[in-house]
Amino acid sequence: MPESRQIKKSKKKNVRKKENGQAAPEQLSREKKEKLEDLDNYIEDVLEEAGEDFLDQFKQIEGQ
Amino acid sequence: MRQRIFGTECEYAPVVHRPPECVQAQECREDLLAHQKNIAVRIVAAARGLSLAVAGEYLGNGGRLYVDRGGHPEYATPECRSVEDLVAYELAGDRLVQESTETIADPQEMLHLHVYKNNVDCFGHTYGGHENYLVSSRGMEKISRLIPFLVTRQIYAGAGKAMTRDQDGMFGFQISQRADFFDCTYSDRTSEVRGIINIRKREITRMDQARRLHLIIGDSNMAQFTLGLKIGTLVLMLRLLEEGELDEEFELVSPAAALKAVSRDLHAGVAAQRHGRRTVYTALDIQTICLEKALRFYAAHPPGPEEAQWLDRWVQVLEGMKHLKVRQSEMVLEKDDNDLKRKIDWILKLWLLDRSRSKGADEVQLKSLDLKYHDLNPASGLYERCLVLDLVDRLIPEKDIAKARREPPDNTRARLRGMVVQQTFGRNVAVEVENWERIKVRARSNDPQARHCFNRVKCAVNSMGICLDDPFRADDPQVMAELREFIQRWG
Repeated sequence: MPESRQIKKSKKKNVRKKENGQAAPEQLSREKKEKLEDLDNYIEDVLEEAGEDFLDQFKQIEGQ
Repeated sequence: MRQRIFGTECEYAPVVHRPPECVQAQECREDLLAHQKNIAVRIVAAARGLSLAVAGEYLGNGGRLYVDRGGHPEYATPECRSVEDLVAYELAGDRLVQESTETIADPQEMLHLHVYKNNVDCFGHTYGGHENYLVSSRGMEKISRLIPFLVTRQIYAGAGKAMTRDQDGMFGFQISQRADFFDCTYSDRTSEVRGIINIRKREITRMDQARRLHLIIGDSNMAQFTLGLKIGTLVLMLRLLEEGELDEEFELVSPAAALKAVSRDLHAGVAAQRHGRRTVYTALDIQTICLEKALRFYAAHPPGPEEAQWLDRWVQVLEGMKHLKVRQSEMVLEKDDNDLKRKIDWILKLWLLDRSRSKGADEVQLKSLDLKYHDLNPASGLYERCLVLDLVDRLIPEKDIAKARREPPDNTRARLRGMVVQQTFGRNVAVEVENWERIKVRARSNDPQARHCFNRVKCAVNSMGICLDDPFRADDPQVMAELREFIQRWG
């Protein structure tokens, strides 16, 4: 895992609010889509570095 | 027992991830143990540099940070009386361990040090997430009545794991990380032969003959809601147990086998003896029976606000479970209409693995992803990423976690312990927190006048003992006044 990776701040769009404070459904779904894209990119980075070496380095001693 | 104290212990897994060309394999167990201990000692020592009051292994928040068996850094929360407090204190421990780890990150050597909050590696080694509850002696006499509940609560308390391929070539998903490591119902050991109920003799308190129920069966949780529900439902069940509401015959035929079967298959049949008849239930059936008993009891005995809250959350989660469809052997989350992945660790993990598997991730990648879920580093942990993206529910505001890192709970003896640690920290007195019940404060022996137990010049003894026998006693003005006087004289 690259240590230089910083938390990518999720892009916060100016979500137009309805009068009752709820975001419009299409805006909510756009926001959700962006979050999932962010998550998938993130997982992709993890998967690139995944491998037998990663699992081997995880070896622990039995605890309680 | 309407009021009780409870706490948790987490053993963390420190891992140094180096590029393959720099990997130094620890050839034997002794080498690995020495390596792990070295890292754990450094993590624990680094906590002392984080501007926090400490006395030996004990912290100013009333908790404890130390190196446990197997070279695992372990954090024990202070004694709490509310579930939300406990969640906040456990998360405070996670933050403390992570911050300590960052402190010792040496650009040359430790740059790739990560700490994981899980319970299993890929080589079949486990390490624990333990729970402790104060239970009345009446409750402890009938503790076996809790077993059906304990075996099946994994359906909402499990942390999930990508299985290691077995001899039959089976690769899939298990609900619980710890289930495979339990072979019997009772055991006084916490390694090698583990029991669903741990019956080791050492007890934290004997107040009114109440006993410490020590459970080592649970998974360590990342999701705040899962952790809260695991503790909250057990606190509800303990009250039922103590009030005689679990007295009917209801026993699993083979509890340890059932634990493993449910972990592998949410819908596995579990044989039980109830009302003189042998019947097969699913884990959800058994949890629903427990919930119905709780609802009946609390209809007749109005619950406190926190009891009502967790009862309601238990209802919601079991309702959601009825609409949940999973294919564990194929690592598929088919249907989650009630969005339980926002709340429950194993469902969130299964969703993440399913998402990655469907995009072509292979077995090794999925197992790596499983481990990354538990990385406490907010820049690299998968659960932490879900939290930042608001894909999971938050139970505790960050400010409460920050407060729990510094200050003890205000309604248990942990407050007294924490205050003693805080007030003596940096003063010229030595503090030995001998155990959860006893503290000894001594004048430092480098003061020549302090070497004798009674100083004739100061007309004073050079040590004082503080007893925390009563788990609910959060304050003792007389003891605190004596302590201030002692510090003034010697510190």
